[in-house]
Amino acid sequence: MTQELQWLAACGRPWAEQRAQTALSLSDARSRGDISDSEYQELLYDLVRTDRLESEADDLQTKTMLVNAISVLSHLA
Amino acid sequence: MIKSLLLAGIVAISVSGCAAVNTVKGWVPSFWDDNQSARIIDVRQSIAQLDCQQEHLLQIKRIQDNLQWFELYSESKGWRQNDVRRIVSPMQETVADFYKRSQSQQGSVTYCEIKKKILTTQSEYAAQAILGRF
Repeated sequence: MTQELQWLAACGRPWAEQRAQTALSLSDARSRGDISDSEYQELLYDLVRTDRLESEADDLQTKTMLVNAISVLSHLA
Repeated sequence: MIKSLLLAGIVAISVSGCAAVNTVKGWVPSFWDDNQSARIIDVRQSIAQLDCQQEHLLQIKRIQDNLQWFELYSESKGWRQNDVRRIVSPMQETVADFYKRSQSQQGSVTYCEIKKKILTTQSEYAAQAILGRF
């Protein structure tokens, strides 16, 4: 799993690299004893939550662009 | 032309019933709102000012209160705000876990710093979408 994360951390896709680097730094922090197991679990959940949030935010931005485009077109008509 | 399209839309919705109304509701985004825009920046500011060396609980309470205000205001405003409520919901979960942990025993400084980083990212995405509305 760590090897996969290391590969993803340098795969050339910024969104995947960022997430993989965060997951790796979490894993390192747990290995060093800087965070507990339960803190580690919770922070991993937070990464999933961030993905959910980003997806919803993208959706709203796309719809806003669509409304904007339709509004411009209706003014031109 | 636009009138004809609107009429066609109304007829299509009338024929296909409530299911179509719900589908259309899902397509319609919420629009610009001064109060939501100001509050999401309050959320960002309370996260930016989080000092992990100090006691966490009261600082997290401030973030949680700002998010609760946003949620209650948006819920009161009606169904069209469901999109922004869905955006804020994962951040509420992230903060709720942080608050719960801080209530029983303060988390480590590293935990707090990573949590702050995650919340910063989440609030940046949320603010960009909320302030970018038409």
